[in-house]
Amino acid sequence: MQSQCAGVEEFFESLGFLSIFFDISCGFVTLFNDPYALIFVVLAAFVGIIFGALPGLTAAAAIAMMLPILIAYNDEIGGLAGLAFLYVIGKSGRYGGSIAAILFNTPGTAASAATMQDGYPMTQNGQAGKALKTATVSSAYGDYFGEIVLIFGAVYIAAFTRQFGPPENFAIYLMAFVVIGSVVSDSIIKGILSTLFGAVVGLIGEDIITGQFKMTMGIDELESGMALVPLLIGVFVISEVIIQAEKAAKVAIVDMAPEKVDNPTAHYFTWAEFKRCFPLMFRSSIYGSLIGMMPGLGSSVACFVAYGEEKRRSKKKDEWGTGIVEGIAAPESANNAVSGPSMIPLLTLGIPGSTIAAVLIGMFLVNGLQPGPSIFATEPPLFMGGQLISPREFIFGIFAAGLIGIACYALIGYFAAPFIGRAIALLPTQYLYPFIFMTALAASYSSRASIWDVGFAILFGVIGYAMRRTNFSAAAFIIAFVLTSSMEEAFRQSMIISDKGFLVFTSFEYQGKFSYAPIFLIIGAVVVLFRTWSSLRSRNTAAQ
Amino acid sequence: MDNRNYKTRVEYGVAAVVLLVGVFFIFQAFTIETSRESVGPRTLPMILAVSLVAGGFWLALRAYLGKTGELKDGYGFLESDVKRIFLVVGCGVLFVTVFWGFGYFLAVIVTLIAMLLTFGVRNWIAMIIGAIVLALIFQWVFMGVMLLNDPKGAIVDMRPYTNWITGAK
Repeated sequence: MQSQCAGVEEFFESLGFLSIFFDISCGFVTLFNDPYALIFVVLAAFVGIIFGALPGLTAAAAIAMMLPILIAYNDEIGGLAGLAFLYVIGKSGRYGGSIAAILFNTPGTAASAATMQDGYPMTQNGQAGKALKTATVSSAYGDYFGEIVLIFGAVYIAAFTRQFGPPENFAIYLMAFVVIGSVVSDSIIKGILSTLFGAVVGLIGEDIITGQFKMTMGIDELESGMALVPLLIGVFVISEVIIQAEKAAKVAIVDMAPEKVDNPTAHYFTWAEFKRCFPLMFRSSIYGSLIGMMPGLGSSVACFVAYGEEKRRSKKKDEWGTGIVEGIAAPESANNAVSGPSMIPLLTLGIPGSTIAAVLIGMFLVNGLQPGPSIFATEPPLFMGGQLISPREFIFGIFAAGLIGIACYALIGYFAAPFIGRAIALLPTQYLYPFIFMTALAASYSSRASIWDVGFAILFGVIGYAMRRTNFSAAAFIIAFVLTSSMEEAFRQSMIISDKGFLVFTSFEYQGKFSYAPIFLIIGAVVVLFRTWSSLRSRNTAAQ
Repeated sequence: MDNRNYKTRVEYGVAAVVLLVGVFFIFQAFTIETSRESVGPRTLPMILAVSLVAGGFWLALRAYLGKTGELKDGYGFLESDVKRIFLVVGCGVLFVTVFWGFGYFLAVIVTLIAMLLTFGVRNWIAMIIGAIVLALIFQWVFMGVMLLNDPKGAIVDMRPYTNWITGAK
């Protein structure tokens, strides 16, 4: 197959490790050859900031509502545009949350909760502009750091994981279920129950091997399974609308201090401050990247870890929480550094580490790509946008979109964040949330043109609301829902080819090769035991 | 009722719901025909459903032993506004019902007005004009551009009056 980057390939290949630069160059070529993809990257940067900055709404909510449209127009706009849009919206949405945290003392997303502690005091001190620019610079810094970790990490891990067979795949899925379930919620048992519930709902529909219909409750629409879009819309959008409807009866949703942000451009994140924060942003990006690589641990954990650790290291601990740039730079670089590495489990093992990664699976499948280590292969070619490209070029095109997307949201945020904040503060929420509700219902219908899907979205909206109120995890539920059918396939394939029954998962040998399956199961067990031990210890400490 | 008591009662309720969901899926799993393999289509659903039931018992036992922990902000339904929850869910049900009876266009208008009322809007002119404009946009985008199926209402077929929006004949 003729690569788009033919000609320089041999030179880069001769450089060994540096051949990754050839791949990323090809990614940029793929991206710049696709005008739709470029437009969608810019659009995603803007839309993500808006959704992230709206209190209560997240990038996942934006994705849930736009997914049916992207799927419907996938052939027209090309697969790269849709995937780049979803990928970049996850990044810009994380950043957008900081605007609400700094200006309104309400985290736009959970990832920005730590930013409030110094962000809002800075707004109260008349330094909203400086706070927003600090958040923008540190978010972009962390995001670029995470993207580099992703690009260099994923390729080499994928080369190792490509050799895995069904028993190892099943063990990885099982490990992911227990790890995500145990770390994603305050309560280990409720986190695991969230994954079990998502998994059992994910099994509704046609059996992957026998073709018979399972647990459809006599509803014809469920024969093809429960669709992802109504579930996403239910647990992320409708449950949020219910919460906002409750709030509408009590207090105003945003509490901006307008007199303090009238002249935000008077305050900048100075070069001296940047140099002072640089080591802190570097360390926080490392925390964020490491946390991002672990399935289930997301930006909300990273921002508090970075904030707590940098406060502990600081010589001026007393100043933290009073409105200092370090208190914004640490959590913001950490929460955005999560974004890139959170794709590593998806691209190397086929496990989504976050809700956004779970949704990306759907878009990958629509484009004929199975997320996992084979995604870095050069064959078979994909026909996209009127040209043949290899899966490897395609995936590096998405990485390039991520790099461009970071620059886009950083530019938009640096110059327009104060205005976006003020515009959001002026938005009449009593009109905004009904509009979002209607869009959510329309998006549910458009996923399969079925009125049942609207009903399911409402049902899961109520379930999502109850889950939020009782410490269950919507993210674990969605990730398990997406993973289950692949897990069942790996499980049953393993059992069909195994002559040892269930012992195939605990044996270090499989079809004459070394099997890593027991190692993954041990890792899962160790994580659950460690979480249980730390939970019991903190409970005992609290009791004393 | 003190905080710990409240949390324990909520946890009993949660345990009961998890148990019911688990039992429901066990019954559903029994409807799956078994195959000749040792691990068939019923195996994993049954394992998951039984695990849900076991989890429900665990939650109930934890509540019985009083090990539910302290009540934290945002937990439980003390701050819930049941009326508003029902109103939002009611708007969703209204959408489905009107969609079934009268089609998509009218469902959007009626539901948006109901949602605006739920959020406390009382400006009827803005509500009606806003609802009609949104219905026109949605009808055009979803049925006209995305070419989604626009089913006829079971009670009244409104499509002869809305087809001009989508260009359908």
